[in-house]
Amino acid sequence: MDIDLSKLFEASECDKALVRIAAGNTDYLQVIQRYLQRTIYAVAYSVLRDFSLSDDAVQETYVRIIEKASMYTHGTSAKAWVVTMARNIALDMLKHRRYEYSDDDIGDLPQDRFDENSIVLSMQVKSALDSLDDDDRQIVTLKVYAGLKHSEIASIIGISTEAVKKKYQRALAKLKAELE
Amino acid sequence: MVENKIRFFYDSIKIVNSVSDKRVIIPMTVAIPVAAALSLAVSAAVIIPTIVKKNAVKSVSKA
Repeated sequence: MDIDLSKLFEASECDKALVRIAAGNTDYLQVIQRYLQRTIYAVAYSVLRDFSLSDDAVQETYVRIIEKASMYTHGTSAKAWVVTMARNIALDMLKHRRYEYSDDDIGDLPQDRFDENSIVLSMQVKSALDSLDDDDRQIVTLKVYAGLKHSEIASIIGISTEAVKKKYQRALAKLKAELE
Repeated sequence: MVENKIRFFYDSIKIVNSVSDKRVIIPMTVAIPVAAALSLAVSAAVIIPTIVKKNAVKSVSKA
Protein backbone atom coordinates (compact mmCIF):
# COMPACT_ATOMS: atom_id res chain seq x y z
CA MET A 1 0.00 0.00 0.00
CA ASP A 2 1.47 3.36 -1.03
CA ILE A 3 1.50 5.93 1.73
CA ASP A 4 1.46 9.57 0.69
CA LEU A 5 3.72 11.11 3.30
CA SER A 6 2.98 14.65 2.18
CA LYS A 7 -0.73 14.10 2.76
CA LEU A 8 -0.07 12.59 6.19
CA PHE A 9 2.12 15.57 7.08
CA GLU A 10 -0.54 18.01 5.84
CA ALA A 11 -3.22 16.25 7.90
CA SER A 12 -1.05 16.34 11.01
CA GLU A 13 -0.17 20.02 10.57
CA CYS A 14 -3.80 21.06 10.04
CA ASP A 15 -4.90 19.02 13.04
CA LYS A 16 -2.30 20.70 15.27
CA ALA A 17 -3.17 24.13 13.83
CA LEU A 18 -6.87 23.77 14.71
CA VAL A 19 -5.97 22.74 18.25
CA ARG A 20 -3.76 25.81 18.61
CA ILE A 21 -6.36 28.13 17.09
CA ALA A 22 -8.86 26.74 19.60
CA ALA A 23 -6.37 27.63 22.35
CA GLY A 24 -6.40 31.24 21.16
CA ASN A 25 -3.39 31.32 18.88
CA THR A 26 -4.99 32.64 15.69
CA ASP A 27 -1.60 32.93 13.94
CA TYR A 28 -2.00 29.22 13.18
CA LEU A 29 -4.77 30.11 10.75
CA GLN A 30 -1.87 30.64 8.32
CA VAL A 31 -1.24 26.88 8.40
CA ILE A 32 -4.85 26.23 7.37
CA GLN A 33 -4.51 28.86 4.65
CA ARG A 34 -1.29 27.33 3.35
CA TYR A 35 -2.66 23.81 3.04
CA LEU A 36 -6.38 24.25 2.52
CA GLN A 37 -7.11 27.63 0.90
CA ARG A 38 -7.50 26.15 -2.59
CA THR A 39 -9.56 23.27 -1.30
CA ILE A 40 -11.87 25.65 0.59
CA TYR A 41 -12.22 27.78 -2.53
CA ALA A 42 -12.94 24.78 -4.76
CA VAL A 43 -15.62 23.47 -2.41
CA ALA A 44 -17.23 26.91 -2.18
CA TYR A 45 -17.09 27.28 -5.97
CA SER A 46 -18.65 23.87 -6.51
CA VAL A 47 -21.67 25.16 -4.56
CA LEU A 48 -21.81 28.79 -5.66
CA ARG A 49 -20.41 28.68 -9.22
CA ASP A 50 -19.41 32.30 -8.74
CA PHE A 51 -15.76 33.34 -8.43
CA SER A 52 -16.30 36.48 -6.33
CA LEU A 53 -18.78 34.87 -3.97
CA SER A 54 -16.32 32.02 -3.53
CA ASP A 55 -13.68 34.56 -2.44
CA ASP A 56 -16.14 35.80 0.18
CA ALA A 57 -16.89 32.26 1.28
CA VAL A 58 -13.18 31.61 1.82
CA GLN A 59 -12.86 34.67 4.07
CA GLU A 60 -16.01 33.73 5.95
CA THR A 61 -14.63 30.23 6.46
CA TYR A 62 -11.50 31.61 8.09
CA VAL A 63 -13.57 33.74 10.47
CA ARG A 64 -15.75 30.75 11.31
CA ILE A 65 -12.72 28.52 11.92
CA ILE A 66 -11.50 30.95 14.55
CA GLU A 67 -14.95 31.09 16.14
CA LYS A 68 -15.56 27.33 16.12
CA ALA A 69 -12.10 25.75 16.39
CA SER A 70 -12.90 24.61 19.94
CA MET A 71 -15.53 22.30 18.45
CA TYR A 72 -12.93 20.40 16.41
CA THR A 73 -11.95 17.00 17.83
CA HIS A 74 -8.19 16.54 17.87
CA GLY A 75 -7.10 13.48 15.87
CA THR A 76 -10.04 13.45 13.46
CA SER A 77 -9.90 14.75 9.89
CA ALA A 78 -9.10 18.47 9.96
CA LYS A 79 -9.67 18.71 6.23
CA ALA A 80 -13.12 17.12 6.41
CA TRP A 81 -14.03 19.47 9.29
CA VAL A 82 -12.89 22.58 7.42
CA VAL A 83 -14.47 21.44 4.15
CA THR A 84 -17.80 20.78 5.88
CA MET A 85 -17.71 24.30 7.30
CA ALA A 86 -16.84 25.85 3.92
CA ARG A 87 -19.64 23.94 2.19
CA ASN A 88 -22.20 25.00 4.81
CA ILE A 89 -21.15 28.62 4.49
CA ALA A 90 -21.45 28.45 0.70
CA LEU A 91 -24.88 26.83 0.96
CA ASP A 92 -26.04 29.60 3.32
CA MET A 93 -24.76 32.22 0.90
CA LEU A 94 -26.59 30.51 -1.95
CA LYS A 95 -29.79 30.52 0.07
CA HIS A 96 -29.54 34.16 1.10
CA ARG A 97 -28.10 35.74 -1.99
CA ARG A 98 -29.82 39.01 -2.78
CA TYR A 99 -29.18 39.23 -6.50
CA GLU A 100 -30.50 37.29 -9.43
CA TYR A 101 -28.12 34.76 -10.90
CA SER A 102 -27.58 35.73 -14.52
CA ASP A 103 -26.66 33.11 -17.09
CA ASP A 104 -23.54 35.16 -17.83
CA ASP A 105 -22.24 34.35 -14.37
CA ILE A 106 -22.37 30.67 -15.22
CA GLY A 107 -21.35 30.70 -18.87
CA ASP A 108 -18.49 33.18 -18.97
CA LEU A 109 -14.98 32.77 -17.65
CA PRO A 110 -13.62 35.97 -16.08
CA GLN A 111 -10.34 36.50 -17.91
CA ASP A 112 -8.63 38.16 -14.95
CA ARG A 113 -8.99 34.96 -12.92
CA PHE A 114 -6.89 32.79 -15.20
CA ASP A 115 -3.54 32.94 -16.95
CA GLU A 116 -3.64 33.01 -20.76
CA ASN A 117 -2.32 29.48 -21.14
CA SER A 118 -5.03 28.00 -18.90
CA ILE A 119 -8.09 29.83 -20.23
CA VAL A 120 -9.15 27.43 -22.98
CA LEU A 121 -9.00 24.24 -20.90
CA SER A 122 -10.45 26.01 -17.85
CA MET A 123 -13.40 27.21 -19.90
CA GLN A 124 -14.08 23.63 -21.05
CA VAL A 125 -13.81 22.22 -17.52
CA LYS A 126 -15.96 25.00 -16.05
CA SER A 127 -18.64 24.38 -18.64
CA ALA A 128 -18.53 20.63 -17.98
CA LEU A 129 -18.70 21.07 -14.19
CA ASP A 130 -21.54 23.60 -14.49
CA SER A 131 -23.55 21.06 -16.49
CA LEU A 132 -23.56 18.59 -13.57
CA ASP A 133 -26.26 18.43 -10.91
CA ASP A 134 -25.38 20.35 -7.75
CA ASP A 135 -24.72 17.21 -5.69
CA ASP A 136 -22.70 15.56 -8.48
CA ARG A 137 -20.52 18.65 -8.94
CA GLN A 138 -19.84 18.87 -5.23
CA ILE A 139 -19.11 15.14 -4.97
CA VAL A 140 -16.63 15.28 -7.86
CA THR A 141 -14.90 18.30 -6.33
CA LEU A 142 -14.77 16.78 -2.86
CA LYS A 143 -13.36 13.51 -4.25
CA VAL A 144 -11.01 14.69 -6.98
CA TYR A 145 -9.79 17.99 -5.55
CA ALA A 146 -10.34 17.82 -1.80
CA GLY A 147 -9.23 14.17 -1.83
CA LEU A 148 -11.87 13.03 0.63
CA LYS A 149 -12.99 9.42 0.98
CA HIS A 150 -16.44 8.32 -0.22
CA SER A 151 -17.52 7.82 3.40
CA GLU A 152 -16.41 11.34 4.39
CA ILE A 153 -18.27 12.80 1.39
CA ALA A 154 -21.36 10.81 2.30
CA SER A 155 -21.27 12.29 5.78
CA ILE A 156 -20.87 15.83 4.45
CA ILE A 157 -23.53 15.62 1.73
CA GLY A 158 -25.94 13.59 3.88
CA ILE A 159 -26.37 10.54 1.66
CA SER A 160 -25.12 6.95 1.84
CA THR A 161 -21.59 5.94 0.85
CA GLU A 162 -23.03 3.72 -1.88
CA ALA A 163 -24.99 6.66 -3.28
CA VAL A 164 -21.81 8.76 -3.32
CA LYS A 165 -19.93 6.06 -5.23
CA LYS A 166 -22.68 5.74 -7.83
CA LYS A 167 -23.10 9.49 -8.26
CA TYR A 168 -19.34 9.96 -8.50
CA GLN A 169 -18.94 7.28 -11.17
CA ARG A 170 -21.85 8.65 -13.16
CA ALA A 171 -20.61 12.25 -12.93
CA LEU A 172 -17.07 11.24 -13.88
CA ALA A 173 -18.36 9.31 -16.92
CA LYS A 174 -20.31 12.39 -18.01
CA LEU A 175 -17.27 14.62 -17.58
CA LYS A 176 -15.09 12.18 -19.53
CA ALA A 177 -17.56 12.20 -22.40
CA GLU A 178 -17.34 16.00 -22.53
CA LEU A 179 -13.66 16.53 -21.87
CA GLU A 180 -11.83 13.59 -23.42
CA MET B 1 -7.31 11.97 -17.41
CA VAL B 2 -10.37 13.99 -16.58
CA GLU B 3 -9.40 14.11 -12.90
CA ASN B 4 -6.19 15.95 -13.83
CA LYS B 5 -8.19 18.45 -15.88
CA ILE B 6 -10.46 19.15 -12.91
CA ARG B 7 -7.42 19.65 -10.65
CA PHE B 8 -5.86 21.91 -13.27
CA PHE B 9 -9.01 24.05 -13.37
CA TYR B 10 -9.17 24.58 -9.63
CA ASP B 11 -5.40 25.05 -9.40
CA SER B 12 -5.57 27.76 -12.09
CA ILE B 13 -8.11 30.01 -10.41
CA LYS B 14 -6.62 33.20 -8.97
CA ILE B 15 -8.10 33.60 -5.52
CA VAL B 16 -8.70 37.19 -4.43
CA ASN B 17 -8.91 38.39 -0.83
CA SER B 18 -12.41 39.72 -0.95
CA VAL B 19 -12.76 43.49 -0.51
CA SER B 20 -16.47 43.06 0.09
CA ASP B 21 -15.77 41.31 3.34
CA LYS B 22 -15.92 43.99 6.02
CA ARG B 23 -14.87 41.70 8.84
CA VAL B 24 -11.47 42.18 10.34
CA ILE B 25 -9.73 39.46 12.27
CA ILE B 26 -8.18 41.24 15.26
CA PRO B 27 -5.71 39.42 17.49
CA MET B 28 -6.93 39.17 21.09
CA THR B 29 -3.84 41.09 22.32
CA VAL B 30 -5.18 44.10 20.42
CA ALA B 31 -8.91 43.52 20.80
CA ILE B 32 -9.03 43.54 24.61
CA PRO B 33 -7.23 46.87 25.22
CA VAL B 34 -9.14 48.46 22.35
CA ALA B 35 -12.43 47.25 23.80
CA ALA B 36 -11.44 48.54 27.25
CA ALA B 37 -10.47 51.96 25.87
CA LEU B 38 -13.72 52.21 23.93
CA SER B 39 -15.68 51.27 27.02
CA LEU B 40 -13.94 53.99 29.07
CA ALA B 41 -14.55 56.56 26.35
CA VAL B 42 -18.26 55.74 26.21
CA SER B 43 -18.55 55.87 29.99
CA ALA B 44 -16.75 59.23 30.08
CA ALA B 45 -19.04 60.56 27.37
CA VAL B 46 -22.01 59.71 29.56
CA ILE B 47 -20.67 60.54 33.03
CA ILE B 48 -18.89 63.86 32.37
CA PRO B 49 -21.91 65.70 30.92
CA THR B 50 -23.98 64.36 33.85
CA ILE B 51 -21.48 65.77 36.38
CA VAL B 52 -21.32 69.10 34.54
CA LYS B 53 -25.11 69.26 34.46
CA LYS B 54 -25.37 68.46 38.19
CA ASN B 55 -22.83 71.16 39.04
CA ALA B 56 -24.67 73.60 36.86
CA VAL B 57 -27.92 72.82 38.66
CA LYS B 58 -26.19 73.27 42.06
CA SER B 59 -24.78 76.63 40.97
CA VAL B 60 -28.20 77.82 39.89
CA SER B 61 -29.77 76.61 43.17
CA LYS B 62 -27.15 78.51 45.26
CA ALA B 63 -27.56 81.70 43.24
